[in-house]
Amino acid sequence: MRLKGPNARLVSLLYLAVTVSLLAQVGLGVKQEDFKTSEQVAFYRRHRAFADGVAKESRLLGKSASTQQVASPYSVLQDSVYLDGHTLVSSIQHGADKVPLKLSVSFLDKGIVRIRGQEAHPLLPRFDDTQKLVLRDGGANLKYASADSLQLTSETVNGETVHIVSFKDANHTASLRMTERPWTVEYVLNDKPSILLNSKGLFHFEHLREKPGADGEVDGADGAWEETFRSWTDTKPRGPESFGLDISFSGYEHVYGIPEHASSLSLKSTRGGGKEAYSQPYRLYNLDVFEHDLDSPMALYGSIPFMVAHNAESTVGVFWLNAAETWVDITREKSSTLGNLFRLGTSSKEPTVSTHWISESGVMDIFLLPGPSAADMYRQYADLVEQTPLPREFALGYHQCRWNYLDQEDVLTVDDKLQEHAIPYDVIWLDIEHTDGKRYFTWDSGKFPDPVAMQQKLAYNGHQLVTVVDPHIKRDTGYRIWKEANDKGYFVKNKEGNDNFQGWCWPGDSNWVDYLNPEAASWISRQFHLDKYNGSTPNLFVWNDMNEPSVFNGPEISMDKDIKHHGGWEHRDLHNIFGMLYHKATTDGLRTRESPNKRPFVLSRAYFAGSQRYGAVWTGDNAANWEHLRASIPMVLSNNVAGMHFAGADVGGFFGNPTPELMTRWYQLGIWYPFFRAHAHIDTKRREPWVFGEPYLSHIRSAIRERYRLLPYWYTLFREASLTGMPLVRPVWMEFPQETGMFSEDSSFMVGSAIMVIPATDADTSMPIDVRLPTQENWYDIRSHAAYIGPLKRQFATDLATTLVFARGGSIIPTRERHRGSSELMRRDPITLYVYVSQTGTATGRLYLDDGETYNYQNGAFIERELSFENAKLTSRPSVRTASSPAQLEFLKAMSKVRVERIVIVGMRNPLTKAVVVENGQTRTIELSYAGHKLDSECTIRDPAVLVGNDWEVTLS
Amino acid sequence: MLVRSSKYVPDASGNFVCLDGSLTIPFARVNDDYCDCPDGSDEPGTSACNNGSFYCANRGHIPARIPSSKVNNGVCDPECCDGTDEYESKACPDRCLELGEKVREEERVLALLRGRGARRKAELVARARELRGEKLEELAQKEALLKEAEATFLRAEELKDALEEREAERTRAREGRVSELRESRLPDLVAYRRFLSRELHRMRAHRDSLILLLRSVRTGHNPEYNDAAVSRLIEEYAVFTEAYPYLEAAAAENAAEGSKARVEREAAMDRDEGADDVDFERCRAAIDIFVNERETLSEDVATLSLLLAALRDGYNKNYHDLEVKAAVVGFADYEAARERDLAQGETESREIGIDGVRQRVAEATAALDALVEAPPQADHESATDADDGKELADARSAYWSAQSTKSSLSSDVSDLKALLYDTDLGPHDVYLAVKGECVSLDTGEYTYEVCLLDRASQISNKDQSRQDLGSFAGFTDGGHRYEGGAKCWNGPERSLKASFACSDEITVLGITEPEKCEYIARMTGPFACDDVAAVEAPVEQQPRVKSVEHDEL
Repeated sequence: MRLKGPNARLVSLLYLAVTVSLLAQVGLGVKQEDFKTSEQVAFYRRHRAFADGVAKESRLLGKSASTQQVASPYSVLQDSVYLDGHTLVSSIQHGADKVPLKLSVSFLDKGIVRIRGQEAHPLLPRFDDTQKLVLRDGGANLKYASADSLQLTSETVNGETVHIVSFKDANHTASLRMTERPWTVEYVLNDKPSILLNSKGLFHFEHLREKPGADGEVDGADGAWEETFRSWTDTKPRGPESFGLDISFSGYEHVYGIPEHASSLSLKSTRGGGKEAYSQPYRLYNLDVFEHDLDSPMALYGSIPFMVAHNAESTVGVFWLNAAETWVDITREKSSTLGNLFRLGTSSKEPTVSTHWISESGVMDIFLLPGPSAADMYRQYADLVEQTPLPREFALGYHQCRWNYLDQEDVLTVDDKLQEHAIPYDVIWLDIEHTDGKRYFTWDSGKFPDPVAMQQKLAYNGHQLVTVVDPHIKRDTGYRIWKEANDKGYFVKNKEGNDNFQGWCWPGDSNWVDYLNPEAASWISRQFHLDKYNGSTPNLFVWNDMNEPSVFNGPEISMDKDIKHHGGWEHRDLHNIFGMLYHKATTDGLRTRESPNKRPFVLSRAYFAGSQRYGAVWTGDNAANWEHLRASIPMVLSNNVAGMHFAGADVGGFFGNPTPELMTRWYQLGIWYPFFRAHAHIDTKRREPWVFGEPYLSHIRSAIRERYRLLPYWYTLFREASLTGMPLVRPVWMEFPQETGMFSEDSSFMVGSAIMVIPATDADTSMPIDVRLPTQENWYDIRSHAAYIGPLKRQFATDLATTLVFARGGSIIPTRERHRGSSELMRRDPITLYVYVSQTGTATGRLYLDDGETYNYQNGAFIERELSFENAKLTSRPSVRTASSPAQLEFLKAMSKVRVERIVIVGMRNPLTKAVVVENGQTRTIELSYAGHKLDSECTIRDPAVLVGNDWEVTLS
Repeated sequence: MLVRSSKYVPDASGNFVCLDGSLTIPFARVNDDYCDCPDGSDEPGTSACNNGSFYCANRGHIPARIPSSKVNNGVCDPECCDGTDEYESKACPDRCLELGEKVREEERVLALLRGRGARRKAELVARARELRGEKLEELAQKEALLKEAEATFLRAEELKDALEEREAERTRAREGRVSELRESRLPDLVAYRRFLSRELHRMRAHRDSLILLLRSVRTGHNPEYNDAAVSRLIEEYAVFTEAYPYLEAAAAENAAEGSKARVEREAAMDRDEGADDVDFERCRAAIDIFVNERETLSEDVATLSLLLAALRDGYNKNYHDLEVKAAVVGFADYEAARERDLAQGETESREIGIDGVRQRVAEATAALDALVEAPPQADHESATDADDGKELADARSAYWSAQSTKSSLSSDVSDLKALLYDTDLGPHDVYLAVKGECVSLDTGEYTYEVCLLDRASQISNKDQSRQDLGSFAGFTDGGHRYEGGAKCWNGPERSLKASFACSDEITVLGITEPEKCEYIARMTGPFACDDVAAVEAPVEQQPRVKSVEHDEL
């Protein structure tokens, strides 16, 4: 028997009692505690206090006076206003602190207005590279309005000066009004003040200042020079430099965008909005949130400060170009007294959405996009940040991912099994476990002894490989990547700027390459070249995960805001573009690894405005439940609304094990995400499509085949997005802008303009589904071709085989009907055209084809056909962009065997018997079959055998 | 394209009838790269019908039929070694001769292996037949011995009982109130001691579980995460292990022995301690010691539980440190097990009325102490008492020894019976000869060991620690299932499925873990081979691939 050691025991127990209780406190509700609420953010608190003060004063003023009701302390300095070419320049100043701010309002092409403001003489330069890193051509070639299209007049209204800039060119008429006391701006569109700045008086600009004496705080401003969150202290050496502004959309009830949030499509009020409202503002701050909540304005992995407002008359946008932490409060007013505020008397009783934007640092830089149509507005937005480029064609296929396919054999087995079960796919993915100890650009040689042979085997059947390459670099002197980056000083520095910033991530102790340093960015790009990335082949593409950046032991699982980047800038200034800079560097590397260059494919988790230029994103770590399935719809739509088109959610749900029903439903929805990838956490059961057996396997297979069948349509949609900036998947309002009852619809959506998807998302797979088909138009079930006449509101019965997808009357949809193993293997397959006849007997559509991987399309190597059906005649004409060139001729030659093998006309009321085909001046007659009755009819033209590249017409009689 | 197969000839009116009879089409529409027939039969030479198939003659190799979707898709289909599937691009060379030769060579090698395997299997079956004979003989012997041992035991019991009775009579006669009291209260003491003993078994197991969890975190955690909660646990646990260095080794040893061995060890302890049950004072001394140990144990359990509770509440979930997560789940399991044990203790207490027992023990002890402190009385006992005492002790010792012999034989007999009559040893007892035989595979980080029809384990090459992957749970399609291994942090108990390919040797070819904690072993062994008769039948005349209908074009 053992003797006791009472003293040691006692001491130990006492110590434990203390530590355990401390740990228990921290341990409760880890998730919420890891992340800040707005109350825990000093600059938000200061703006909130300012806003509350203004609101209170405005209320008091409103009671007493009939003239001035906005208590904004900011006004325009007398005689400071002048028009300099395309820019209206002014100085504005806070009534008390007397630090002049320079404000410039520039007029751009297409009616875009840009407002920039900062101190006239800043004590220190503010971070202003965001525009260089985000805008098209670094903002250098923005097209400004010509000076003669602008006219400045100043007038006095009720004793106060108002400056009015009238803007008029061939396509646009608008005016911008700026009042002096207080400073406000309103953008008048279609004679209505539509976008109003500082109409609530919440504009507040914290000018840079000298740090006061040892006693710290200034102006009673809390947390201005130091701020602590849990165990992390932000030293804030530059002091306060935040700014906030209210932007109101007069006449609008709905605003959209500002992803990424697990929230509804139509953004909710964050203050004073009753039951439905949030109690926190929407936050934009890229964060790795473990098992994130749903229906929440909490920040997630990406941030796009672009908001869209829509009403039945118009669609407008606001782009708040700032890469620092940003909060957006949203309030709504049913009827407004704004008319009185502005002494205009015109816009009273308009519903209004007011938004209050607050950013921590940088320069105030805002773009107002006037629309008026969604298409106009997206062209305007694309002028600023570019369109989504044409992706590599395979990227539109099905992506099979799991954390982790264990080894070479596992990868090839999954490849085999997918083929054995006749499931087409394009890409298989490798997560972090494929590396040698989480050293990216390396392989675990035990598990992947010959990655090149593995990729060749995949490529043989037309399949690609994606490997994950995260931004954290394992601190290991024996690791070439770390050593080179360290030797060259490419890592992000610590707070003092004298050593590398160190943090923990998957590999343990890590450093992060500073992509703000152009030299470091191009160095990391080169690491993706075939001679640097051992074991990579031209069939390997890349996934950037954890690039918010995720730092396990950092504040909010990210970097400290006061650590130093290239040029001495603080992390706070550029946090939200850090992930995009890595995405860009990766994309540049893949693009330039071959000569001539080929289109890259890179998936990123973090993103910002402009990320669409570099590849795809996904919604991050979701979970295998029905709620997450439903939440993915508004999340993917919101990304599309904000210009981040190539987006998807993990099919199946990342965490947890999906039931076979959920898995089936998720595939049935997932094929309509622009980016279509199934993924799974390492602790989950295997869930490749065949795992579930029948009937699930057949349902999943037919869903995936539907994606492949429609690839020509998807690719043509991407072409459209690459030209116009239009979203790929669209909220219903975007296609039916006057359908007021559907402005907040986010359980169904449009894919392009031709297809409406109403996914089944209920755990009860036999639950009837509410379907609402808008507008006075025919709709056709895309599989059965059963016709419905809109507007229609009814329930449809469902079972697990049912998916409710409708083609819009008046559209022509190109498909490829032959089952193949991957997109690459379909390239020379014939096309089938589905003509869905409108109520007036017409239809239009487009077909775009190119080689799917090079940039030759930029030299004309593509086929782009305008298809139209009218008076029982289907015509294929070249698009206006089609022009003869050597590259085009070469591509036409390569496609010389690709024909249209079938034309199906759906919904022709009268039976037809023959088709006359005219191609290259030659005429031939083809029999056709007509089945069904009236609208529920299907008329199939058997093998018209016209070449996709040729001009032709088919006349039916 | 020329159609030679009899099915593909125009009928009298120059038409083609789809093979399912559903449609008649002009013959010109056969193989015109447009799918007309619902059954896909009009396009045997193109990819137009998604439900069609394409025939490759593959001269020099085995003919094949592939789905139409693989025709002219740009990939030289391996099944179509003659390259005819890509007739449009003509990009695929005819490799049938070369491939056919290679496949035939592989077949020859395989046939040799199958032959060796079948012969080895026949040897195993023969050996099994022998073994069964040997085991039957052994069983008969043991049964005879058992019979003897039972007789011996009965005799010893009789003798012991008689002597005890004599002793009891004497004692009753000789001793005054003291012995009467002792005698009458001894059952209470014994009941109490046994109760404590059972409680101690449970508590020792509790402490062992906790120590093992803590040890696994200390040795297995990823130090690079620098999780504060983990560091604190290790620091605190070090204080404990420094003070009691031998406890960890003992816990590991106890954990390694398996539940059967543990039950035996505890039973042996109980038997030893049972010797104290014959005497009031010895029993009383034993109770004192037990109470003391119980106090120590409950303190240890409390300390170690606090450490793990702190880890559970404080560890960083983002880090995905499997060892830490395993410990957190293990701790939850432990707490549940402890709850069950406490409940069992409660039940036992109720059943034996422990409060009454404790009360009577206390009274007896107090009364005895009072008596013992009273002045001694003179006594005149006979000298033969000492000899009688020795006789009784000898009889008791003989009794225990006979009982032990009997139970050991009895368990041997039932084990043998179970093996011979109740165990599935495969056809012709083929597994009898190899049952318990272990084979292993070193995969770098771990060595995997499969002991046939017994258990599977994963052994760390770092520290030789052993993870139980399960015990044999039955056959599946010629494979083995091993189930109920150590529990995983995220739920399931570890398990292993082994599949076998025919070979004369028993080996593990590969182990994968496609899902966490579910292992798949690819193994070889003679028991997966055909019988010699089947193998030695003339193979070459029968093609191994099922014949393919010729709709050749």
